[in-house]
Amino acid sequence: MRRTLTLSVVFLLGVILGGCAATKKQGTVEVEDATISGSDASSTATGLTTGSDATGQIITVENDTGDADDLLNQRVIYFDFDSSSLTPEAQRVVEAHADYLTGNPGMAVVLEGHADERGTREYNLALGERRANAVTEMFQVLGVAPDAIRPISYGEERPVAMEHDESAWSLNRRVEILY
Amino acid sequence: MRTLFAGILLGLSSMVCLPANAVLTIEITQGEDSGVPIAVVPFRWHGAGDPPEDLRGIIAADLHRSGRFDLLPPGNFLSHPSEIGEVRYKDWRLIKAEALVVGRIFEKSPDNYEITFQLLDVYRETQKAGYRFNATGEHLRQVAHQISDHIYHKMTGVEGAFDTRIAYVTREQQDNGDRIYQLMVADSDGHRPQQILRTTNLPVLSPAWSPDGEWLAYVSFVDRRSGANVWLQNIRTGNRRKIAQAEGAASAPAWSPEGKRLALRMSYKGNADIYLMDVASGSIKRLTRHPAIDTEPAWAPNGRQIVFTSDRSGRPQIYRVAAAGGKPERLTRGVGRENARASYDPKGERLVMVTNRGNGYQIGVFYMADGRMDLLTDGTLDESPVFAPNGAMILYATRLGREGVLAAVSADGRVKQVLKLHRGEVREPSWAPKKN
Amino acid sequence: MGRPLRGFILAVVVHVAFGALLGVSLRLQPEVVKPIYAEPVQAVVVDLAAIAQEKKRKTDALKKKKAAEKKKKTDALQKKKAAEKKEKAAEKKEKAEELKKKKAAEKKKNAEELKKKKAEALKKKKAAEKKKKAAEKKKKAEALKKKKAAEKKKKAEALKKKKAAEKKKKAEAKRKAEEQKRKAEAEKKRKAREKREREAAERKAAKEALARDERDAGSALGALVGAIEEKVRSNWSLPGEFTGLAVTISVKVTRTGEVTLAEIVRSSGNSLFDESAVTALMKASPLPFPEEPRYYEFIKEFHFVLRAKN
Repeated sequence: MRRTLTLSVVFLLGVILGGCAATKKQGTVEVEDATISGSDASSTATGLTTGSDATGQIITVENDTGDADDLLNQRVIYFDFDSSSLTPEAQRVVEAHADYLTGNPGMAVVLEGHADERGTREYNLALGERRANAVTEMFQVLGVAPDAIRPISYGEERPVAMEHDESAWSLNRRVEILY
Repeated sequence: MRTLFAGILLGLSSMVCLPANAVLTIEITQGEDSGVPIAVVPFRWHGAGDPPEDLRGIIAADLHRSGRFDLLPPGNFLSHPSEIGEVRYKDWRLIKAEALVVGRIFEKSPDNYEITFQLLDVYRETQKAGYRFNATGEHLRQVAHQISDHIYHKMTGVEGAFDTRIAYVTREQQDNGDRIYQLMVADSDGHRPQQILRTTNLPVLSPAWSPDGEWLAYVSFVDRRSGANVWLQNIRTGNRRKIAQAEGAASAPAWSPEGKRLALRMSYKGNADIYLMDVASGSIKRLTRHPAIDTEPAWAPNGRQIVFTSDRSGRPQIYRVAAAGGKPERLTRGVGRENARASYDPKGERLVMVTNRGNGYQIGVFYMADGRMDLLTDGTLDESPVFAPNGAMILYATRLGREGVLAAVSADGRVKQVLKLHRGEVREPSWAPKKN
Repeated sequence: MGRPLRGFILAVVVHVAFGALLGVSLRLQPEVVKPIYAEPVQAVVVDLAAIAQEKKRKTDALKKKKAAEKKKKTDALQKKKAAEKKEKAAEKKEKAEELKKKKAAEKKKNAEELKKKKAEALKKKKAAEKKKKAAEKKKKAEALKKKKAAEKKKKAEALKKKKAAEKKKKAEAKRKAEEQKRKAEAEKKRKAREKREREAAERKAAKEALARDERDAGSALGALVGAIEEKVRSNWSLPGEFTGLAVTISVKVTRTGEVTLAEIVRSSGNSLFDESAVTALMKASPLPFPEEPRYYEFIKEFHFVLRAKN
């Protein structure tokens, strides 16, 4: 049993860490000339992103043993409505990642803060930022170097669940840890 | 006369009063609001083939959308005059029209049109307005909107806002999961949409028109690894630039009334506050200093005050601070547990905002004079309200079934209309100021 | 003498010399005299001899004056006396002349009187003769006159009698006529009174009828107020929010309720609102209106107050 578990963990780790280098998502900004008379000109700017794909698959392993590797697999931290405080569960996840980062000085993370759709977009943009900052602070307290952490926010703009009820909202109130 | 008085009282079924001088008086209170009955006759076409635009259709849709008019169906018209000399007022009194619009389009040469119209008072048999226009085919819709503005102004005393433009954001989900965002500019009735910006998977929000209508400021993202930024883009040329920022994210841009400054939200050391930025030089001045979230600034028309959203009291509420700096004061008290995204009407007397009274998010109008708030909508996720340049209508984003759509509501809340604009989600409307 | 002592003495000498020089120089400087500003005085040359002369002259002059005055007085007195004397002499002369005149006049008078008397006597005589003749003539004339008068009297009496008779007749007739007139007047008065009474009764009846009509008109219109209100309200469309505004409009209607005049009596202050109210009344025409022609006069004009809702 233990062997299988270790194998699966290793396998999963491989998938995750391998995936970091593999997929490249393009964010394309196409600016089209909007002259009313209709003449055309366009310019494009391309940005490269690394990291997990747009919909942010969440890969969690249910494990009660509190194994460090399992916690490290958890890449999403959830929050209560209009709140940016970390639950004890969240704190344990953060600790695990902090350990990893302090042990691997070359690694860096982007902390992507999000909010559910209730409230205005701009307020949620700031709320997601506040959540990402809360996690950042905790990382820093735990000794992670500031330049290894980049907090950003998408507010309500990138939900993982599209329904308009609490079950969807609770999944959208999150910070994603992206390597 | 006293006997007359007695007689009236005897037969009374409604209010009749006799003031001291004992003139027989009947008092009548206005009944349910209905629009002014107006007949817009299809414009007579002098040219080859079909008319290039249905001017009558555009004008009727404008007037109907304003909520102030009851458009009489053209099927009931007994005659079809095109100018005042051809009008038989009796025909129009028969269908109870109070106002009559007649007009002509005349093709002077290929793609060169002359348009005339007259607005007539049916019961007084006089002309209230009349104008002549010259335009090419691509400007005919604009001429129709200008005619609507003239009619609206003459009939209501308020300037029209039909010859104006709006901006909004759309989002479409592709089959492969990509989300395409577009920043669009269109006529105020949603026609002639033009794409200003297109991104893949990089959200766009908070478009804001400059006072001269030449620029749009908006919020977007450079890439997946960066936070929000503010861009300024020239509508005509398409040239754009990102505003300079030291660190952290920037969003919620708002142009000052003279167009030289932007108020916006910037985050310094992770704390969202309101800053003022000089557009030309990029120099910034910090306006609020508080660990709470301060965002969504909006300028008063006199350029001296700024309202903004802050959750410094626990939940988001509306505050006001002098643009020159000072202590912010809270405006929304006892009017909803949450209030956000406030913006002024053109006279500076009201704010429109998103409000939550415990039953979801609706659009409310807040009166600066007495601090009361009227609810205009009854959705659960209504947002991004903005006043029309004449303060008579409000454009906002709402949900229709599963879709996000834009809707227009008259400022008194009476008439609501959904705008059919685009497939997919539509949100974040902004209304351009009227150009003179 | 030692050198130092010599030196000392030299020094002293020098000092004294210089001191003296200084003193002298100080003295040599002209003193600054402050000018005294006195009041300017008229420069008069004082000549004592002239003064004495002047005095003498004055007294001389005074003496002369006095003497002259005296002389003047005595001259005047003398003159006066001379004049008086002259006067007296003249008077005397006058009196003498007068007396002379008087005497002459008397003489004349006497002569004349005598003449007059003579003439008068003659005149009297002539007159008496004349008188006598005249008396005779008179007598004759009188006799004739009497005769004539008697005849005249007779005639006159006859005429008088006739006249009296006529007068009597006339009076009788007059009396009769007056009697008739009186009778007629009495009759007339009676008729008039009757007429007045009748008319008064009619008027009263008419007034009562009018009052009744007025009342009925009022209640007839009152019964229709609901319908009127409904019709006006349903035809009234407002082009905006006009909370709290009200306008008073005076209307005139025809017998069938057609609105022929709608005039603003008290504006709401907003011309668009006022116009919309007038338009509503024009659209609602003809208003529901009582048909009875008798009522029309009382209800052909009235007021509307059109009020926006709150």
